[in-house]
Amino acid sequence: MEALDPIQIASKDFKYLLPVMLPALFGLVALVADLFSKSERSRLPLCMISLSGVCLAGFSAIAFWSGAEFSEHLAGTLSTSAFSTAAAMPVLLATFLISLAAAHHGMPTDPKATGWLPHSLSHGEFYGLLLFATSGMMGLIVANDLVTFFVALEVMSIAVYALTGLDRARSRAAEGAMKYFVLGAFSSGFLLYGMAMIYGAAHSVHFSEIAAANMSAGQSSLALVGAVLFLIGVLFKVGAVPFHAWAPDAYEGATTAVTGFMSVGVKVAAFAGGLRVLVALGAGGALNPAVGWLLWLVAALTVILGNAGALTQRNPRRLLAYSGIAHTGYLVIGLVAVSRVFDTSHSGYVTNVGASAQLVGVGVDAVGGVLFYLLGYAAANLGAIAVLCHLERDGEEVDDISQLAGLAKTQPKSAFAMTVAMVSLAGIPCTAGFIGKLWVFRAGVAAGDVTLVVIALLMSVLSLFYYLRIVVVMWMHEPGRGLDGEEQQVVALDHRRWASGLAVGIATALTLVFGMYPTSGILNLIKAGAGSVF
Amino acid sequence: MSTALSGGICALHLGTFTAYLPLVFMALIGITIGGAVLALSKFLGPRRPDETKSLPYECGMEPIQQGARERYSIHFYLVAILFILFDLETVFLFPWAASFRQPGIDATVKLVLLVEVLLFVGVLGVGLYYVWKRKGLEWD
Repeated sequence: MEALDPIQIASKDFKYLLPVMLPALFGLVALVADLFSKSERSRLPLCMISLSGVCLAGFSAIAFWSGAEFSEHLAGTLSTSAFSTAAAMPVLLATFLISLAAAHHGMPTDPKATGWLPHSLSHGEFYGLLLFATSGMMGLIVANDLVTFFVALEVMSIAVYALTGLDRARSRAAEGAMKYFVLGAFSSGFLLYGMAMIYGAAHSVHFSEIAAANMSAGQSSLALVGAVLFLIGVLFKVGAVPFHAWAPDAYEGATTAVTGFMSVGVKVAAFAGGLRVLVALGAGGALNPAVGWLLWLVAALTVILGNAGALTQRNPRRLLAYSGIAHTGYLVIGLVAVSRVFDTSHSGYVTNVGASAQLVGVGVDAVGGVLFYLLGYAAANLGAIAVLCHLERDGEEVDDISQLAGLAKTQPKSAFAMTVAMVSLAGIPCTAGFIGKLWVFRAGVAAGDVTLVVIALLMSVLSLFYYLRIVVVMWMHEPGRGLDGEEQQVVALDHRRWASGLAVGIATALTLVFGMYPTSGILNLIKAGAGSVF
Repeated sequence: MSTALSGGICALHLGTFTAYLPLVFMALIGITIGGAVLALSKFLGPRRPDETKSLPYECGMEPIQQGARERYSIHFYLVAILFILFDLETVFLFPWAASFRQPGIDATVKLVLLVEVLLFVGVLGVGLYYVWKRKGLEWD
């Protein structure tokens, strides 16, 4: 047998792995800690373990990842830059806020009752799976070769499949989890097939070597098929039309906290990882102009069908699922703009540029827009989810927006937070959603896709109907009177649920701060991150 | 030239055969002992077949059922999942052990490799502990 090549790993490189490994480590701690906690007691200690894991991962990401250029570590399996930090922030925000929001899930409403609900979320498995999924998401963000990318994607996905079906008592949860799992496994097949073809065309799995390969010369058709199959796998994970069929059922079946986590975390990680691969494929010449137009079509369909589907929904989780599909569509506009950077034949530039420096400038703007959009979407969507978690009583969750009737009179703080979240999701000024949309749409116009941006704008107007309907129900209806004038039970205020209340407060504050006065720290991080991608 | 070449091929064939000789002996011994045990039990053992004994063995569950939609215990699923987990552990450990003993790997890399595999086994150990405490290893 031949001796193996010595492995080029410097021990100091392992610190770059910390933000990925710390959540997994704390997940194990949460699992074991749960074995020693009594079922009738509060599960707040587990929430604290989860929060400390997230905070440590966040600090180490800021400390170790924030370089202005991508640098490769651990034999080229990871590469980190400010882009990684900027994409890690919404993921960790999701885990942080969902840990808090679910901490009182299943607490008995009667203050004298001692036993918590047996199938409530706040036990070790929930926090364990949450942190394992977070670890996968962080890995997806920093992956620098296709194998690491796939392993991280599966770590994330398998944990999220299990989270979807965690509430065993409900058949809707099992249905949603099964649909998500079967379709997800199917899409992993597409992704792997695409990876095999990209490897065949570029002769490497490393992103930097794929970017350096000249695939447009001899391997263009193989590379093109590989790129399209790969993008199908990624578009499935973010729930883009026509790969969105699982989303409404999975989001409705899952408990509210899980819905929030997977709508934000999975989307952020898949967009960040997908962007890296898209740029590498583009630089390596694998992106035929047709890929840009395919993404264009996906963006248009996703925006139209997502918003149209949300119009008639009355279950808030299902509504947020369709709204999430619509937001995926707005984000894909950013991907279209990135793909145009590598398309020399594209002549639709409004600014009439052709020089590659300006093209790259458009791409950098698009990546920055996507990163900020994801952050704003995370804050607003998690705010809405946290309010719904805050209103859960005895395991019964809000299943119809009629149950929110008159919330402004009974729980004004929650109603205010929900209003801010809806306004931000609709993209009205003074909120994070507005700046994110403005940034992404500006990049879309600069890349020459004016028609696409006009479609997205018209659909944003349409989305006002279903977002503001919730606001109207909360502020203008009488408590206890549903949309059709039927009797509704009023959800009573419960002061013991401080954890979900705190999550609501943080999410609302972040939505407003990002929208009115985005701190220079966040903006500089996003700009530096976007600049390091090309 | 041609005689030298054919002589070389003959030597190669003989050498290859010698190398496989222990395997042939092993096969012969196996067939002899196995056949002897089967033959002895056929001639000497008492045989009183009944319905249960004549059924094919299926790990404790009913082998022949009315239709494929018959329910069977969920425990089988749990046992199978746990089996795959620890089966895969050995699948990963064998190549690790084989490459760990390769010459020419310096001590620092060896330490890294050792720590990595200890982490891997440690995570599985925590998993086993969790399953044990959750009574996943008990049948009832």
